[in-house]
Amino acid sequence: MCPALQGHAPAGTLAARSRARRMTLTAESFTQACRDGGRQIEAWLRIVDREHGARFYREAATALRCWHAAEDVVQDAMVKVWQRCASFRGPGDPLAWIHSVVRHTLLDALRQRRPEQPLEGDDGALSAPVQAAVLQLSQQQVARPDQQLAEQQVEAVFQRGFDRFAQAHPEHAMVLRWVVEDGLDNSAVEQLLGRSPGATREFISQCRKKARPFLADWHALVGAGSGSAGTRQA
Amino acid sequence: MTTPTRPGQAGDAGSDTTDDDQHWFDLLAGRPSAGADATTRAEAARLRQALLQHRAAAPAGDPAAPDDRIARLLGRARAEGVLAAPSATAPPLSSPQHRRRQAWAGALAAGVAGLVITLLLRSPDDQGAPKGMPEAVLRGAPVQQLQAADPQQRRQQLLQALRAAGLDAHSFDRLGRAGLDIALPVPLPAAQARALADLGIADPHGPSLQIELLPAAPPLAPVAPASAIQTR
Repeated sequence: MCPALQGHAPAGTLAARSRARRMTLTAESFTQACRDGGRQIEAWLRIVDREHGARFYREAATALRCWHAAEDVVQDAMVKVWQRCASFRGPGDPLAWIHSVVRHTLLDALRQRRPEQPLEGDDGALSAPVQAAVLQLSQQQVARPDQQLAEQQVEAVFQRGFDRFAQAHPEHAMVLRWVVEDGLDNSAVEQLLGRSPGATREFISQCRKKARPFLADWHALVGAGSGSAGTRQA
Repeated sequence: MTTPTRPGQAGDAGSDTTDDDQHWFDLLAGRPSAGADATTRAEAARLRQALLQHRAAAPAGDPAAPDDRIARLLGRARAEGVLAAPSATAPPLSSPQHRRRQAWAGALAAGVAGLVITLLLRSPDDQGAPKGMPEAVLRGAPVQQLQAADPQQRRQQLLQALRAAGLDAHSFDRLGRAGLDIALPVPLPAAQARALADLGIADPHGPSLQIELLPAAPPLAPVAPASAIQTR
């Protein structure tokens, strides 16, 4: 359920809005705001929301499938930014840092939405009931590769597999999308997850490993089409 | 030597495939990766292409109106202590002209008063010292910090204890500080919460936690009696 957002009266003084119009989002003004607090922070909150809020809210809504939850996550991140502003290391781009805090908070939210029943055992393999369900669904809904060479069908198989992967492992699926769309490297993922280099490498391996069973049918189709040695996962 | 697994194969991707996974990751991100296996190249290229073609779309609708959401954001920032209460940051004002007059008069009075007080109270020790902020700016720590005589040794002890408690913990070093990165289940089971508490770590009530180990401060020098303190 994604409840509608409640309306709210406009807030803030003319001075605060005027300050927000004048301020530029530089590392210097961010550091200054962090040091001075109060109205400087308010001005930053206003200008970031005005100029960059739309893309932050949209990214979160895309992941969470809910605008209300997206606002909750983005605003939670904005508050965290200023609670942790002292840890910002200039002269980097504070907006990039803010974006990484938004994404980190979004991943936390996705992680907390994990399914109540684990889909896989400690060894990372699908649990027996889940494996049986996946097999049954595959037999019911996915035609065999030789029946399914049309491009649209291949895309549908990918979409279905990735959607299931995203349902089972939302955090891993989201990071994979960001890696592809933004070209994240290890250090960016490390910062995003707030993990050590070793833990980040393990996370990357887990992304690949966890995606495999869900994309097995698609791999079999496109692998067969390109002559690669794809194998269908039973 | 890496042992690449075929795409679609759910074989165990253990430590011997770590390099292969790194190649896969780099290729997925669109970076060249010399030495990648042909199967890995094909797997990454196909997945990259598919994900670029199937970008996730936002649900129907739009974000809330800017004025509404900024009001909620500021309210939240105040509730969390990032901003002071509205009365401190936004005194009620009537008309714009009145507001401007009040602002100028207030600024002038505050400036004169501040100058007088500064001149009266200024002492050589105060020069360059930052003054207290008029509005409280509360910021939480992103990590929990623990002090230890030997941070590296203490980290190793904590790492073993955390893992023994079934927690996913990894060590890291950042800016010369030893640390631990812990992934926590939410909600935290009672046994693991107890394990954290026994180690002097507070439950963060969230899915991740970082611990920084700081060298314990040396014992303080004896404090001089009050009578011995000279005032200038």
